[in-house]
Amino acid sequence: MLVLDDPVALLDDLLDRVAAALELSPTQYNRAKDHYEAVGDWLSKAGTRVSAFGPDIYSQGSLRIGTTVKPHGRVEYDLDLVVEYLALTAADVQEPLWLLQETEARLAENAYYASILEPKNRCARLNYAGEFHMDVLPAVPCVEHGPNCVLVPDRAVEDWKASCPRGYAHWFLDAAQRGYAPGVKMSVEPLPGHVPNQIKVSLQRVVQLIKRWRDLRWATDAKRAPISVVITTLAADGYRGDPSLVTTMTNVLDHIVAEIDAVPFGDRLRVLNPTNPQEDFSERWDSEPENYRQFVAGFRDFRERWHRLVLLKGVNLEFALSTLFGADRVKSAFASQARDVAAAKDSGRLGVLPSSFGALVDVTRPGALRSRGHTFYGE
Amino acid sequence: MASRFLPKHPLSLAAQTARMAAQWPVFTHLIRRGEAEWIGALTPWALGETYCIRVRFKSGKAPRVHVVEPQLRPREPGGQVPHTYSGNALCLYRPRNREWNSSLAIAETIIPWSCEWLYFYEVWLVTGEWLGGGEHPTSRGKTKRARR
Repeated sequence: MLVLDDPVALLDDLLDRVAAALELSPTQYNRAKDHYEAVGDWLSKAGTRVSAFGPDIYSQGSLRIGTTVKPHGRVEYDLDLVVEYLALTAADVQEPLWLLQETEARLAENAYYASILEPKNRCARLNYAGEFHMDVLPAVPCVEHGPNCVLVPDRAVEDWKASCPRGYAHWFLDAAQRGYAPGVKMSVEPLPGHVPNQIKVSLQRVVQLIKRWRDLRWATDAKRAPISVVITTLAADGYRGDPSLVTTMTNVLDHIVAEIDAVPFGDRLRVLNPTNPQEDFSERWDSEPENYRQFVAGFRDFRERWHRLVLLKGVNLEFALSTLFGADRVKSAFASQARDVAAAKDSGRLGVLPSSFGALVDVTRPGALRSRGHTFYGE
Repeated sequence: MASRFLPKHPLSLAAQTARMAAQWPVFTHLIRRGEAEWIGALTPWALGETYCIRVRFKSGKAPRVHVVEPQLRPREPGGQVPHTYSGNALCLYRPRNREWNSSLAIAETIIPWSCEWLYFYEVWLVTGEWLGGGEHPTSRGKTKRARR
């Protein structure tokens, strides 16, 4: 049962509820999985124009590491699929853009995909009606850069770009597991616990919360917002192996601001792919210095607010949380927590601890007074 | 008829006082004109405030609880705090159900119920919903279930 006399445990629980409410619903998640499987099947069918390339298909991004956040407002949800052509190397493919064209051509052989296909800089985008689009990224393996590393054709530079999606996912999930017993199973699906003994770990939750803060802060100016992979990488770097969400958020925000502060004047923070340092996740800050300025100002502000927030109580705490993460979700989290307390009360599991000024506790706590059944009354 | 309503073994003022002193030693106590008064601090949950409450009890009457500090407040100006009687005394139980009667120790009923009340009050301030369950009397004297 909830530990109501432990402020960190309570706030951890609140934050966990806020983050859980931000995930794709199980229906949405299953729909996303269906899209993945359908596209994957189409691209890996035998006897097609890409079959000889040995397509290996896997997801990347937040679905892969369990940090999905429902987009705020009208923004569509972004699914990422990698098609790694294992039988090819960069040397085999003289024109990197040819790989994109072949992939798009194969997709377009399906009339439905042809109707929703939109070529983008590094991927073929499928614009499903409704809340999703899927970015299909063709790639070739690049073992010189490391295991799981790939090269991805980039239309803007008409050349290859280095990437390491599988390696990154492993890196993140390994980092996130720190601080938890080996038997603890991390979940990437929404509503962990539907599969018993699966949980979302503190790093996953903190990444979700920071992405939510980002979505709200840049709600009217999404193009300037820091991108998710930058946020995710910095968060994993700042993680100190603490299962508490509150402590992890503090550690992550302190880390990000410390990194920003350590940058010499005139330069910018660089966020490299930890599994492929050839890939600079933050390269867009070179061409968009305003984005970097807003990133810096944003995280300084977030960290300050956070340090004040952890000292607050009651409505003041709710207000501070709502400012960061949105009033609807935050108030729902308070209500959801209170419903658990009410359920404990109704089933006779609630007691009070006189030695802690009447803190509501589980009735089995030593020293707890059972609260005898009653019904609130009055106007 | 009367015997149906008289509790078997009503606790004397002295007995109530002894129980309060044993279970809630941080509460101060005084007796004034035959009425006992206990004042103490309650912190129902660690993300909430600490409240100072005052319980007044006279033999033969129902105990009354008020929040001394901080003041109970409505969600908007002119609004009402739910589950309070006039004068902002806390409504902790349904009188018709005899959920409290003079054979029960205040220390084991009124005080714990106040802790719960204060917790759900704070949640109500945040969410606008009273999630502690409970009922409201209607003007015709019948009781309708409180909306959750």
